Amino acid sequence: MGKIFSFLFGLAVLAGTAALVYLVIEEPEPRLITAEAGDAERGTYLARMSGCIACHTNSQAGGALLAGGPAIETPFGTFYGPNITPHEEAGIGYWTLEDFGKAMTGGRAPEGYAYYPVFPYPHYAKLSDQDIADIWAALQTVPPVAGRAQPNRLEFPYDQRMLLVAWQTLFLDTSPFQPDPDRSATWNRGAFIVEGPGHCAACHTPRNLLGGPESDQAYAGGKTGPGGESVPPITGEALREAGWSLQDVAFALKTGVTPSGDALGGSMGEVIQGGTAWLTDEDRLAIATYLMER
Amino acid sequence: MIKLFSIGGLAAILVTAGLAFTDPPRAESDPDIKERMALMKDMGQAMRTLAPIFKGTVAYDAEAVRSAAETIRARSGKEMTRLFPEGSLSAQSEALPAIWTDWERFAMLADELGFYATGLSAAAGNPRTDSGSQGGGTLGGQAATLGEQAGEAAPKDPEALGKLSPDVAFSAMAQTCGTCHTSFRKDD
Repeated sequence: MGKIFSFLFGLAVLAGTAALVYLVIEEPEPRLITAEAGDAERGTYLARMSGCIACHTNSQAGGALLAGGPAIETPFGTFYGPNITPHEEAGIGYWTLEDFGKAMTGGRAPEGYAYYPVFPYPHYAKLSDQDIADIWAALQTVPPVAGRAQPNRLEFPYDQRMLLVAWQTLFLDTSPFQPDPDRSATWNRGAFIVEGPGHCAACHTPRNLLGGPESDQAYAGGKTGPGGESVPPITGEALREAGWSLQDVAFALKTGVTPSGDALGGSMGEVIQGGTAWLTDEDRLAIATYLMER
Repeated sequence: MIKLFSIGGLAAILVTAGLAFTDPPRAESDPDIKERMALMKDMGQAMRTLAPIFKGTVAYDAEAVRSAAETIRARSGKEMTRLFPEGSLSAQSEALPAIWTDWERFAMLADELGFYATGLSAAAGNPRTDSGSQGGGTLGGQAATLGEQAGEAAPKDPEALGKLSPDVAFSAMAQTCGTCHTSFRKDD
């Protein structure tokens, strides 16, 4: 019963915060991007690292690149990654770089409404302005495709977008990644990838009933992954306990093969094939270093 | 607001209750399912031998690579797909029904596994000049490149693979396992 009470309490807090935000507190400000002209090749690397393809392309059904993704089932409802090709009406062809920056760092549509955090903008906010400009340049190289993705299907009360403004006030930090000067360059590179574009915590850190991360259980895994999959813990402690070394983590991110000889499937299979398999060996080792020595 | 809270509370109960149910384990009785589970286990054992070799944590051993590749080749293609008669599902099986709605792709991946394993067997004695990493290109500039899944860049021709670094065939083979598991295996 404690869970229900905390849920009710949480909802009351959220509703209260929504009211406060509306009346008094300022919402987190999306960043205004200032950058040199984007580098599409660098942006492609970052787009793969960010996992854009897995959610915005329906690969299983042979859908066009970034023209809209498969259903993502969550405890809050079912989401469909929208069409982010440069199509003028169906995609993001009418956006500016400034609009894209607001979406990536502030979770706001050009029209001003707030996005659900299933779009992992709290992580993309760790990208630098130049990173975002580069990803934007990469997206311009994608062939435009007509046709919108299906609308999201959310349960009440999660269908109330007003609540998202409160969510952003509670959980969103729009500032870019800051390295820790006491740690190695490799560790910091890993921290940037894992906490930022790689958005590992989006699935591997359990969420509270408000959909915010349970920060005291970072990377502890859980039972409510996409499509009801259970998500394994990826803390250094859990990985070591399961017999994984740094090299094992890096190798699994490259090939999908685990120390037991299994090949990862499910959502992680998509992450590997559309994302981490394309990274450099150095970046995979950085991810492993941060996860194991966090 | 009371109604709002009670609906939310009910949803929380349902979510919690849904998580509490799991199937009790039972021995597999279907011979095809039993055989394919053993086949997958054999391939897993072969991968378990190959992984540290290509990870670089044990010394490279061409004979071990060839033998493990042969183990996988002998279980690819029709040797694998014949064990998936339409609708063969059970509580123990992790197979997804998508296998039969997308049979062509399932069978193609099983064949590709064979090409890559044959290529790896042939390449086992070659010098290791390529780490088998992906890379490069722009998102749409080479649409085929961005849309493609990892591993697809390697030639699907065993003879061509047999002339390259064994790492290329290994990466492509490992990613074929993962691609198939992503589409056709239940991950719980």
